[in-house]
This record gives sequence, structure tokens and C-alpha cells, in this order.
Amino acid sequence: MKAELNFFGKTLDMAPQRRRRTLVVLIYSAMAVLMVVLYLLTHWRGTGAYMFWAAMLACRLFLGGYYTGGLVKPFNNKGPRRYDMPPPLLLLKLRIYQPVPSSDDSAYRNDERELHQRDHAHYLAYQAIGVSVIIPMFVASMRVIRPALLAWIPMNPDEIYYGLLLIALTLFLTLPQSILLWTEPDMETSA
Amino acid sequence: MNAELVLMGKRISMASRTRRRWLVVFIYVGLAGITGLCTLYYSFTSACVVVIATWFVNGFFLGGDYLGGLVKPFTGKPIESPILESIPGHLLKWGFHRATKPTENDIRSDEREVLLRDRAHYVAYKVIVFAIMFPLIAILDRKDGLHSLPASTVPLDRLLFNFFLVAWAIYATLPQAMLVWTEPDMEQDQA
Repeated sequence: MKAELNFFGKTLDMAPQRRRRTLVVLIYSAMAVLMVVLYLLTHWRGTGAYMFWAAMLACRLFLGGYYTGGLVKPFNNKGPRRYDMPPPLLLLKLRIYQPVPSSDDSAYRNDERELHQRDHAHYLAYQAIGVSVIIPMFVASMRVIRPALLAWIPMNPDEIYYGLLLIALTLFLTLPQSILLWTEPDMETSA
Repeated sequence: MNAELVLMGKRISMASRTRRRWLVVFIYVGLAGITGLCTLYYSFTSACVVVIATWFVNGFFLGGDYLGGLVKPFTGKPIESPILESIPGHLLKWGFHRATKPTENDIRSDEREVLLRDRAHYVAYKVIVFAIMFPLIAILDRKDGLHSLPASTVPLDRLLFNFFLVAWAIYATLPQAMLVWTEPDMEQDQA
């Protein structure tokens, strides 16, 4: 895991556990707010995919893991793709472009301890994802047995399913990284 | 991992990987049959049948969640299978019990087993994404009025119910099945 975050040209020290936990709380709060706002504005019609993009952006900028960039090294142990073309001007202007590390760089290679941590984080996240499968299953079962029981919810049943699955997808993309960031103790910063 | 199963009062050696793989194949064929039948009958009972079937499979064959079965409990705690707790008389009569009380060795995983458990969950985590993506695609197909999927005439509640039944059956058994499948031939204790 990296101890520093490059964000719009600034280097943020993320070695203290407290800062990383704050970051995780902020990310999930922002996503929750985004989801509520999208529901209030459009009932997620045509905008539900924004949650997916938001989760991807959070991974690329802050969390890492399933995408390159962010604090957690790529889970697949592979470096970013190399292109012959120059980096996009937008990324350079926004100062979020990170040069591709050399093949022997440890920026994306997980050591044995990090691989174990990655696997353990997925073990924990698997339980949570199970809950996110059970809840829509429960709703579907309720709709089978007594549809009237869910009538008090002021949402269309399709929207309930859609919302629950959007939450599940967001968790799926971000939870293992968040667990890693949350549990990793204070790191030593390089002098 | 345990090297033998107690089935109908008989001890069956599962040290050979080939046998364990056959067991996994039989289990999934059985689960596919049960889940397939349950998807035909759109009722709460069918959800209960699938959940109980996975408890049964994990409690007596695969393990992982409970005492019994090949894989030691993932949590390292001696949790009895709810099936065994609910109808112990029947099961003991059929001989589905371990002849001796579980020892500490049957419950606690060593360091290698914990690493394998976490790795299996890491792989299973990536597989289980289908449980989120397929229903999402189905909902989007209906929401946007495309109706381009083959099952577009099936009511959404019913389609999702069936999806989640299959997802649950896989979710509850996949890490254990992976461990049973991948573990190489074990050495048998000399009697």
C-alpha cells in the first residue's frame, strides 16, 4: 500500500491510519449523497450508471485495487498498460497523470504480505457481498409471498431492486480496498 | 482439510483429489437440479428449499460454514449446522454424524489453511459479481424498455427471484468447493 496520494498535483500523506479512515468515510458519504440526489432528481432513470462511474473514479483516484492509481496496489499484480502515445493533455493539466512505472518497479507489485492482506480483505468483503445478495433475495421473496408487505415503501419495486443492486455493485468495486485502508496500521513515512 | 467423510455411518476416504472433484461435480449437479426445480415453482418454499440444500451440502459434505464436511470451519469456531440442530434425531439415525466429538484439530485451521481459505474467497469474490451484474442487466433491459433479453416475457420479480436462488446456491458453496477441488492428494493417516 502506498503512503502518499497524488491528488491534483499535490502529495497527500496518508501514512496515519486516521487519515485513511477519514478518506474511506468521505468516499462512502459522497457516494451515498450522490445516490440519494440521483434518486430525487431522476429516480435513477438513465443516471444509475453514474454510481458505477463514481465507484470507478473513487478507485482510480483514491482507493486503487481493481484499477491502477490510488493507495492500494493493483490486486492483479500487473502494471498499467503502456501506450506509445503521449499522455492525454487533460490528465496532465489536471495533474493526475502518473507516469507508468518501470517493469522492476514495486509500485504495483504486491509482496507476499500484501497478497495475504488482499486475500483476507476479500474474505471479509465476501461476507458483506453475501448480505447484499440476500437483501434483494428477501425483497423478491416478499414480493412473492405478500406483496402488500412492501407497499408501505414509497418506491417502485423495480427501483428498490435497482437501488439495492447499485449499492451492491458499489460495494463490490470498493469494499476490499476500503477494508485494507481501514485496517492497515500507521505506516512509516519515507524521509 | 479433513481427509475423510462420514456418510451413512461409513467412513469414506477423500484423500484422493479425484474423489473430491467427483464429489464437487455431484454436489453441483444436485444443486443445479434442486435449484432448477425450485425456479419452476415460484414460491417462498422454493427459496427455503435452496437455502436448506446449501446448508445440507455445507454441513455434511463441503464444510466451511459449520462443523462437519471436508473443509474446517472458516471462522475457526465450532458452529453446528442448523440442519443438525433442528432435526438431529433423523440425521443421527441415518448415520450422517461424525463418530467422535470434534477435536481442536477439526475446528482450528493452521496458517496454511487460513491462507488457502482467503485465496479461495479472493477468487470466489470475482466470480460472484455475476449475482449483481445479471440482475442489473435484466432490470436495465426492462427499465429502458429494450426487452432484448431472451426471458423478457418473464415477470421481473420472478426473474430476479430465480437469479437470486442460483446466486445464493453458488455464493454459499463456492469457496469450499474451490478448496476441495484444488487441494492436492492428501496423505492418509496410517491406521
